[in-house]
Amino acid sequence: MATPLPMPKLGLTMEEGTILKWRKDEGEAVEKGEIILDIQTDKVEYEVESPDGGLLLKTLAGEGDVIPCGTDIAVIGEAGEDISGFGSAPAKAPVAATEPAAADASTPPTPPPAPAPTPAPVAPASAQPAPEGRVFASPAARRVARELGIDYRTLKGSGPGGRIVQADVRAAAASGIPAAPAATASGPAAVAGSTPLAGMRKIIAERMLSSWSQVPRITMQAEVDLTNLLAVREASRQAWENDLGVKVSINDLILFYTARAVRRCPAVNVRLTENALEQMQDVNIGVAVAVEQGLMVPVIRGADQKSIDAISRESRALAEAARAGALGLDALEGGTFTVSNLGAYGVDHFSAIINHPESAILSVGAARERAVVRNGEVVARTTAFVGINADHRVVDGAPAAEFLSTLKEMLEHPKVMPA
Amino acid sequence: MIRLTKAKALWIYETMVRIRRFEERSIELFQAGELPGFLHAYIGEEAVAAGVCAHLTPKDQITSTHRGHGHMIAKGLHYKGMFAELYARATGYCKGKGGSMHIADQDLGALGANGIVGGGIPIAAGAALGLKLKGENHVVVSFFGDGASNEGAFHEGINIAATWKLPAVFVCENNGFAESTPRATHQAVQDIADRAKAYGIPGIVVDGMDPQAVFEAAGEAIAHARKGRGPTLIEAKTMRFLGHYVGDPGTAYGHDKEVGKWLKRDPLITFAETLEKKKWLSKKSIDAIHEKVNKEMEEAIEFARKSPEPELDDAMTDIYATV
Amino acid sequence: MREILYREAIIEALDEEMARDDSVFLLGEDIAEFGGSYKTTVGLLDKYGAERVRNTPISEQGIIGAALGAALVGMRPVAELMYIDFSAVAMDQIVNQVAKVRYMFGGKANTSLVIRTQGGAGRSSAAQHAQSLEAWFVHVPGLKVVMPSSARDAKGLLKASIRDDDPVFFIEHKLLYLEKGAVPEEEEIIPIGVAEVKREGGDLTIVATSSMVGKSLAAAEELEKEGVSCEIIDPRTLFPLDTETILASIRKTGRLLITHEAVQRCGWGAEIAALAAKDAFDYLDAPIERVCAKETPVPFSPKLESYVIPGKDDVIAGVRGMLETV
Repeated sequence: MATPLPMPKLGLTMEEGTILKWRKDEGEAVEKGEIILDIQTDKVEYEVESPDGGLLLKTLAGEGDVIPCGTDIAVIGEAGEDISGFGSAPAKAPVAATEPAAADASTPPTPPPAPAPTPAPVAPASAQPAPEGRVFASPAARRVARELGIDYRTLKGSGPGGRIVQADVRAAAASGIPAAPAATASGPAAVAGSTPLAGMRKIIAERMLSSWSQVPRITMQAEVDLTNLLAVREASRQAWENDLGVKVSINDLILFYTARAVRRCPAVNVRLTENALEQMQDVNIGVAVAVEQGLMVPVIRGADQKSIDAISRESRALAEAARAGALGLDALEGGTFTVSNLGAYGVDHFSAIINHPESAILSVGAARERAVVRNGEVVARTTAFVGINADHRVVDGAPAAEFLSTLKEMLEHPKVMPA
Repeated sequence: MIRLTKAKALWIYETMVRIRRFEERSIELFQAGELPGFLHAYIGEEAVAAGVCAHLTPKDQITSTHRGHGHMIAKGLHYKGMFAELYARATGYCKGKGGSMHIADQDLGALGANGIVGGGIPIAAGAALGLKLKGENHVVVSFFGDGASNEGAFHEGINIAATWKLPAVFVCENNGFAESTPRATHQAVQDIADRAKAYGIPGIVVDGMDPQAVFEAAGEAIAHARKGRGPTLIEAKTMRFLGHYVGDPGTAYGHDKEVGKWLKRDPLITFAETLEKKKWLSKKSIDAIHEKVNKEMEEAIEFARKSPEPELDDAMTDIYATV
Repeated sequence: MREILYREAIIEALDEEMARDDSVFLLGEDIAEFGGSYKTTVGLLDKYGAERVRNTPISEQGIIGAALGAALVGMRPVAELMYIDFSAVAMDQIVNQVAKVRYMFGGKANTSLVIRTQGGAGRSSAAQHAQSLEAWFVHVPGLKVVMPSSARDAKGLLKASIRDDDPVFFIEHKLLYLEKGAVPEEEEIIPIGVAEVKREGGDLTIVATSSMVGKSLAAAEELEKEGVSCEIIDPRTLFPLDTETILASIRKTGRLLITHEAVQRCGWGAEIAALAAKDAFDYLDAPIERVCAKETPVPFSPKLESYVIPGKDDVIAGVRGMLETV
């Protein structure tokens, strides 16, 4: 029986995809898992594999066509099968990308969000048995394989003498992936389930890797005394709830002050393009939100201009929309600085990965009572560890530290009454 | 002629006592296993360092040799920093990183003992050049031995100083042996001072066992240099009373046979007699000097023993001024 | 920006520093009336006089010893060794004295001096006048080693070297003296210990020194046409070494080729290879390649000399070899 190939849905927000190139012609034989065409989403280029073995009986859309997700674009089957039931896919006109954040110089379209902490390796898919004996792979290939959870020993190397090089591993990761078998005392570890590296997870993996491998980070942390800030919140709570109708969280206050600290320290509000260092005009704060399939970073635009109640409302709405899979692309684009707060999980300190091409990310740990020394006395204060990770190519240590100390000062001595 | 005054004579005597005592105690401590490395004792040659340095101010400079303790003491370095250095302590002149062969103190005009035979000679020429360019009326004295007179550095350094008429004095302490090699088997000239002719400068032979003779010859050479007339090569004939290093008996190369007749001319004995005759010293004042020196010496040794060793991190400092 | 010769850049640096600081003076063979064997001190005698531009006897260890002695009493001498090959005659002073006194004396020693010299092949100067011996000096703690590849670097780095409080072994290249380059009119100090990315690229990192920088840039132009993008890093200072710039590039490209005019074995490139193998191990996608002189004395015959000394084509071949696929 003929198997249809629909336009894949690679992520929650993917509505449609553009056919870039057919790798196979009609009538050509394909194997299951073989790459049959390239598509492009608004975020990424993607190689689509054949769902079945046989012949590519018919292509239902042409190169350049924009096809809604789920709509069949090809039919795979045996020679002579009846495919009259499959008609041409309805193509749409290409849609213009959402406006990226305004920059002094022109920017490329904003890439998709990268969330905060390091993702776990992908669950292993069915792997070919690893060959016996020494496998020649470059150190870089081994590292990338480790990071992407690929069993490089099963790959065919394209380097001199058949050496497996980094590109081979990346290519393998982009198509279906023989994952690294886990090391156990005897026999391979049992695989509980398997998910192809695709969609959001694939984007996360790529973004994380690219940020981690290409962006030299500088990391610094400071313990911030939030006692005064909490007192301000306590004092204003009633008024905020009654007059403004919002419940302001600590994170809302942190977002509020972070945006202002970024405005005051524009050195962290930059991005590096191929040829230019761009000073961002607006302060658009990305908020890392954990969702079921991974992480998303919706953006509060012009956050430094917004009042605390506006921030509070918007961050809540964005988080809810993210978890419900209802975020529009525009809510994900244009961030210039990201805040990742794992305080709710009781994490004391951590080091978030920069949401490239942004140049800095704030890591916020749990606010809790800690013993601190004030005027020579050990006293209990509510503190949190707050840290900045910045792209050291464009953000020097001193400006990063200046930002951190500015933020610390604002949070410890909240002079601007949020209202 | 610069006359040896009573004050200078007493200074020279006491300096010789200080050097002798420092070396004797160093040898005892070394043999007791308290000092690492190895030592080259200056005993027997004290008249040269004391007679020459009697003319120098702290702004004048010296370069020295592996057998350099005597020069350093005569140049005004104190025992504490020297013993601490021999003990490899952080309080030593070189923070325990130089040892016996590299004691130096820029502030006192000591540009360093030197472990390379002849190494200090071009440096002395350069220091003299620097002082001349700065317009300062100071001189540089370079001490070295008969062995160094066969090094290329001797030729290059003295030639440069002579050509440029630099305020330098080259003092060759000819003790008859280049380590173990008797002088007659390492050079054909009888007097190393003859080599001065080759550089167009004065060459003077002086009895290195006679502090007064050394004082007078050095005085003339230093005055000559200060007046901008260029360097002099002084050859002081002397003898080390011990082997090349502490532990070398000197028996293998005839040093033990040679040294006997020199011991009778020990400058500490002969000069004390001379000064006693002049009534500048008495048995009592001699004892008082020895007592004072001994006391200072033991204090310095105690200081060194009690001083901390360098920290491991100190191994990685002072390599560069800035990196 | 105006363009001047590398040799003129050296003169300008010396001139400006002598004008700025009375303690700076020059000594070396044939540097006064003659203006230096490679004309790097022309005009300075007339301007500063024979006290500060001093012709020396042909006495290399005397020159270095004199420079050190003068530094010890507070001067800032710039000593010239006419050829780096002649450093062998002065090795005691360079290695045992200049490099060591600060340390041996527990930090109490002024050693602010520059030893200027030039090396490299390309003029049929044969085995005793064409060597590249930089690794000898990098190997000695206490020395800083600078090796400029352009007129601008030569000037800015020489000024920095003269102002530095440590002994700097400053190696020029005889073939570069007559190369023109842009040099700003206004004063520029190029700090010691900072590498420069001479060309950006993504496929492969070339770490090149002295004359090999220009040859590598020419090679990269050609390789670009084949779609190969080379990043070229000139460390400019061999010690202290800007390891971060080199490592960042290797982490980006995954491939490292090192090229210098010195013979390969125990060359400075081996140090860079070791650095990469340790600190960028997980980023290497190919074995590290070295493009260096063949392991022989430098021959006199122009034909043999150009065979022995690496050129643009050797760099290209090295790069192609690294990017070969099955």
